[in-house]
Amino acid sequence: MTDTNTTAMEQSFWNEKKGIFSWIFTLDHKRIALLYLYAITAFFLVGMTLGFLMRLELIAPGQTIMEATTYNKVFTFHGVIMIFLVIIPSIPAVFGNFMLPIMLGTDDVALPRLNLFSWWLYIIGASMALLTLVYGPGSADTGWTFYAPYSVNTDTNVTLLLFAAFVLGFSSILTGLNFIVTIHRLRAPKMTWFKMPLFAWSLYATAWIQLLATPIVGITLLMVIAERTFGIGLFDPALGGDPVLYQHLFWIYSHPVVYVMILPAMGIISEILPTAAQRTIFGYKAIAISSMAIAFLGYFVWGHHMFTSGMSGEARVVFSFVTYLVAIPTAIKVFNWVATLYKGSIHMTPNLLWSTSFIFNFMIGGLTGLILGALSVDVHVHDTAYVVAHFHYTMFGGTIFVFFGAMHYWFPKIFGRMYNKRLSYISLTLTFIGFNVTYMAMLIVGGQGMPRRYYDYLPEFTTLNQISTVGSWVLVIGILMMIYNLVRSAKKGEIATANPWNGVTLEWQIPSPPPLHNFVKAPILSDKGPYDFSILDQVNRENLEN
Amino acid sequence: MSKHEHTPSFKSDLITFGLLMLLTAITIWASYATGGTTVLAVLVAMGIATVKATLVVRNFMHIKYDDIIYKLFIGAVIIIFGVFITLLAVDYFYR
Ligand code: HEM
Ligand SMILES: [Cu+2]
Repeated sequence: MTDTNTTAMEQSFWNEKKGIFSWIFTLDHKRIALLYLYAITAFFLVGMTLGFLMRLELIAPGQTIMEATTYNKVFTFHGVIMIFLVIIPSIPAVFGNFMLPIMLGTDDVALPRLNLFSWWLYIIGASMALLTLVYGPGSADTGWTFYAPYSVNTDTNVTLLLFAAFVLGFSSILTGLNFIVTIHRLRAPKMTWFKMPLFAWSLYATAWIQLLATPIVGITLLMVIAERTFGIGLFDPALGGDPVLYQHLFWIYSHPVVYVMILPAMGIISEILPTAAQRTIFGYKAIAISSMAIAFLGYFVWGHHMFTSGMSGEARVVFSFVTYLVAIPTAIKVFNWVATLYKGSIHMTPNLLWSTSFIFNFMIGGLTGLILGALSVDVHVHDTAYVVAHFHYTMFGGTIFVFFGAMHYWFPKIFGRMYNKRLSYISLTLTFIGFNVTYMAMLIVGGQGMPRRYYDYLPEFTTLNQISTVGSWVLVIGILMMIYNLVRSAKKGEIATANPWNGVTLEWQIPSPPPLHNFVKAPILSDKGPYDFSILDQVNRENLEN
Repeated sequence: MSKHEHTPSFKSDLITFGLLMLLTAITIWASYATGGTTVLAVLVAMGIATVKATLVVRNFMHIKYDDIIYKLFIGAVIIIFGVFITLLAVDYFYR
């Protein structure tokens, strides 16, 4: 056993070539995925530190550790890092790149050179964003949303940061394009559309949003740059522009993009749960089609971010109404996941526990979203800590939790080793508790009226803010513990087998870690779809023969 | 793959071209007939332009010969774009 697996390591993509250039100029989808993983992890740690510092500032009213203007820069950079450098690329660029070709039964994405180019665009965009910190008039203080006219008038480094976001947008577009072509052209011969794993479906829906929506924000950001540099009156009323138009254009992209963040996470949940319950997913077609429905309906609702912007009353009513439509396909997924677990033969694993934590957090995120979608309520809680808590519940408690869960699910496949499960349960527990304490307190204090983007607050908000700050300490400890466990195990962990969780999708039918061209022999595809566990014995027998 | 071997003939391309030229002539005529700057003039001009764009996409860009899935996606994109314009109009015309 151990022997076959040490040879698996020797024959894997890890050992195919050595040296830094064999990584940064690689065309192998697996290595590109890992390049993204390392970069995204680094930026996540920077973003987390900024979040930690903001919470520290908020431990007491008045100035504590930073000035008001510094706080503005910190939440701006925290937001820009977490949105453009972490969460938008996160799951597609890392797990999509690594797993999609394998799950489809092919040896790479359709356009490997474009894939490498996407990563380089990401690195160039990220470097430009970092550059805004160190030169000239100081880093941007507009918030990650760059609302005009302030973004037109502030003399901080907004122009370069906008351009960085523009370049990062192209990286995202090209990844999406690559996945669309891969899914259309490179599926294994017997794999029809409705025999694809659900993660592939979710990446497909996501890719269309990346491809169609990202150019809109790209142009919008360029318009702000044009207004700043050439004084063209587009958004600034002083120049004859319309600031509400900026918000329209920004949110026409930025609402659909929340589905770029969450759909791939939902796809991964639809992979982990069948494996954990050892049964086929409940409602395969409903989940697949609801991904496409979410991607489509996501274009109709952007105005719910603008209820207090001065938009017409008629438009506000329409947007509030259609916002509720998106809840339907989302709820379909949640019900199907729960039904998948019902009466399954559940094996408790760290990845399952991350997934159920996701469902818990995401329910809070989703339901607070419905509350915010109600026009009459939103005019009161808009721009309060309630909103900040809501989107951390969806993006952090949602997507990032699934990212961590996926790490624990696919870790043995990627690194060929197993992590310390006890430590992973402990770090998950700390992260979960810390997360919920931090943001539940912010949810409540926001409902009481504490505004967002303020470094100071009224004395009556002190207790809840202190609870939230202490929560953020527990949260950070949990995350650091998890990262320590994973980093250590990647080198020193126990050698993992090809199929440690008894999955049946194609990535579990090849050695851990995979060889350079993924498949050494034709994978087994069931006629009954991707989650047919009656082929498990056959899969495991073939794995032993490898 | 076989469906891609089916390429349009020179003759059918020429007919499409002729139709496009005819529609261009009608656009010019209609702009005089409707007064040029009226709401009706804009609607007529946009209507004819839509027909022309459809012809180009269908015949010259070969969407006619493609899978149903591409037609579906092009349809979806046009609907989405229509939704953008409609919802923006609900704001701008009622503000
Ligand atoms: C790791 C622990 C984290 C902590 C302690 C944290 C904390 C905070 C705090 C205190 C704020 C500012 C509230 C305000 O005064 O308006 C904030 C804003 C924000 N956070 Fe986080 N956060 C964390 C992780 C994340 C993650 C993972 C994401 C997304 C993936 C994220 C996205 C954002 C965004 C977009 C903003 C808004 C920035 C703006 O107002 O322009 N955060 N966060
Ligand atoms: Cu939204």
